[in-house]
Amino acid sequence: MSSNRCAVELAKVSKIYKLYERPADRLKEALLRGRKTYHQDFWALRDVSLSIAEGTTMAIVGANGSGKSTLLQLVAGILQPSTGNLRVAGRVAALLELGAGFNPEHTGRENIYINGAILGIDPDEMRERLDAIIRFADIGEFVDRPVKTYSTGMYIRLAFAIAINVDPEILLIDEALSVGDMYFQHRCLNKIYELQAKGKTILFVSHDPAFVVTLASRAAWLHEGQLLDCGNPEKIVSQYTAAVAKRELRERRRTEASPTPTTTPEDRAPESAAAAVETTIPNVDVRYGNQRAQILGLGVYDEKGNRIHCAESGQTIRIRISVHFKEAVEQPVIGFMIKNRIGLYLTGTNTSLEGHLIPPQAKGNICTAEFRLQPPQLSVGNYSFAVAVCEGSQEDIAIVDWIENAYVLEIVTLTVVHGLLRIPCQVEVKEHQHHPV
Amino acid sequence: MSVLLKPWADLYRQRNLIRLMVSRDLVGRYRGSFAGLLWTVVNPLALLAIYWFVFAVIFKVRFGPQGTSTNFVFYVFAGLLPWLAFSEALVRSNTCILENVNLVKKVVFPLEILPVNHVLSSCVNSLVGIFLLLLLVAASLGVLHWTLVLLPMILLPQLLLTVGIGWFLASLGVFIRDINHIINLVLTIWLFLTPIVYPEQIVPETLLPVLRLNPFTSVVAGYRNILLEGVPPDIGQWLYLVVVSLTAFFLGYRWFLHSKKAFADVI
Repeated sequence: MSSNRCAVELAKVSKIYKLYERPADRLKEALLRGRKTYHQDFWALRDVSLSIAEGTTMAIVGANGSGKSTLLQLVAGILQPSTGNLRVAGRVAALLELGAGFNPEHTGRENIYINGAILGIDPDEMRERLDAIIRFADIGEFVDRPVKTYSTGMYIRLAFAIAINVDPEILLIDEALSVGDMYFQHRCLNKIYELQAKGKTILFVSHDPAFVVTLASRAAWLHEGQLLDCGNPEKIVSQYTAAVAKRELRERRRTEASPTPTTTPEDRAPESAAAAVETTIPNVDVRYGNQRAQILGLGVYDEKGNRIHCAESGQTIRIRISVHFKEAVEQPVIGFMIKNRIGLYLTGTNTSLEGHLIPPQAKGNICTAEFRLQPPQLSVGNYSFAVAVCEGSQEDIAIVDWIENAYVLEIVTLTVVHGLLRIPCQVEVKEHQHHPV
Repeated sequence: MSVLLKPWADLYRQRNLIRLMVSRDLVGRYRGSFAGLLWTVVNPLALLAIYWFVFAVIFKVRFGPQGTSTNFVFYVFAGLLPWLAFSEALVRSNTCILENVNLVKKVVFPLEILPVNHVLSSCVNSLVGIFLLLLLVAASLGVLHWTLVLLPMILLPQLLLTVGIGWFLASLGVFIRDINHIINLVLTIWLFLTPIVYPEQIVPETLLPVLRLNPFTSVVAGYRNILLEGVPPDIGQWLYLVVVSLTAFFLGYRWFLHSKKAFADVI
């Protein structure tokens, strides 16, 4: 299956864009024939050498603007390399922007034929594939209506259906896998596995570590137009996510650096909870309550006490919430709720529920509650924290200060999590040989 | 030799795409409009009426041996039909790349066929008009000239000339956006430099060489020879047309292929 033949080979390929301040500068430079330059060079790709063997599924990861799409456009033949050599062997079907080749005024059927012809398939052959495409796209009678009347989902499904049903030797996919409903994603993944089994070469860009690890046999990491590393997808993804987390941390530290002298050093959670007061609230969407006490700040840390904005699924998380009591509060309760990215409350707890009763607080007191969580493995994505102070008992509780969406933590994972979370599980399989059913 | 064959081979390879897109263009143009295909002939007829009023009624311009009003209508119509196809295709070619940014930047698409599509699609419209003209001629004269079968002799060079210039304009339109504004002006000047609304005979002797250099003079003369006068086109004029058309075709194609590599960078 994976022969030594190269499907795609890039040898020191660079793509340079000449940036002109005014369109007339381009003309001036062309007329002067290099005697004077008016442009600035922008290197979208710099000396990238990469060979992709036939039958490989290669994932490309990298931040926005790192040159991933440029690379795909070069392989697709849409852009020409400025320097270096590029060799592509085989019919390429590119899903760079879903449905980009569609004319919105044409019907789905007309677009199918025209797209087929663009890929060099004559109408007779296309007619034979028509049923498979319509079935895969699941657009029913809409196939004879103009594409402009389609929903986004239908548009995407049709584009994808055409691209994978025209029997490409090399399939290029740019961040398209993460769109469409779950059923369709499922169908797409099956089709991709099918293409992999047939020995087709697939090159895709994805921000989703789960996709990269499960689908790709190799991964390449682009950073500011340069190839940083290429190899085992798990290795590349972990390096890449670590780099992203580190950069986010750096940026957060820069923006969060508060000028008030009462701020504790940002990076480390102080070992004694009594001494440290959290003073920053990263975000306030909605805030309500009787305000007899106010949340001063919150922080999320890892086990070692490093402030984090990105955590690996299943790792221990410490959440600290500091509260300033403006009036005396008899029975204070401090807690939080966690929502996933579609706004579903995942879990939440508070001091009272965990059996920790905070003693009555006098006016002017400040206290900090720290929660140590051992969350199960969560699916990747952003998780939003709401933090709150209440007063009273579980039965009769009044909200003092509630802040919605105060903090966002990104969960990354290298393992596959089906659904929302993965619960600890033991498996035992017994083989019953010669057992009558 | 391969240089001379390349454009044909390339276009032949894309024949399915060209056929699909041209038929789609023709259907799409009139889908959802009340009069549909009728517009194809209404527009030239309206222009014809205007020119007839201005030039035949007011300026008393006369065409042909008899110099009748019917003659004027036939002569101007025969010249106007190829001209409208020519100018429409050029105007559309000029913007065809810019209007299809997606085809340049997002998919691998043989962009060179876009001007070809416009040329063929306006040619089909033109054929509808020619059919109408022949009906009128047959109705008024009672016979059609045998020279009608020579139409491809003029039509083919006309198409090659249009496509060749179309490729230039399509490519230039990407780099120099101002062309868009200039093109209508140039086409108006060109229209009046071609003996369409006036007969060649009334042009002053000194201006005739300029008129003869214009390849479209040969096209218009050819249409009139074949459709109205029943004589084959003047061989010298025809050869000149063929040479100019082929030159435009090959140079246009080379220019387009050469400059197309930069489209994605510029748009």
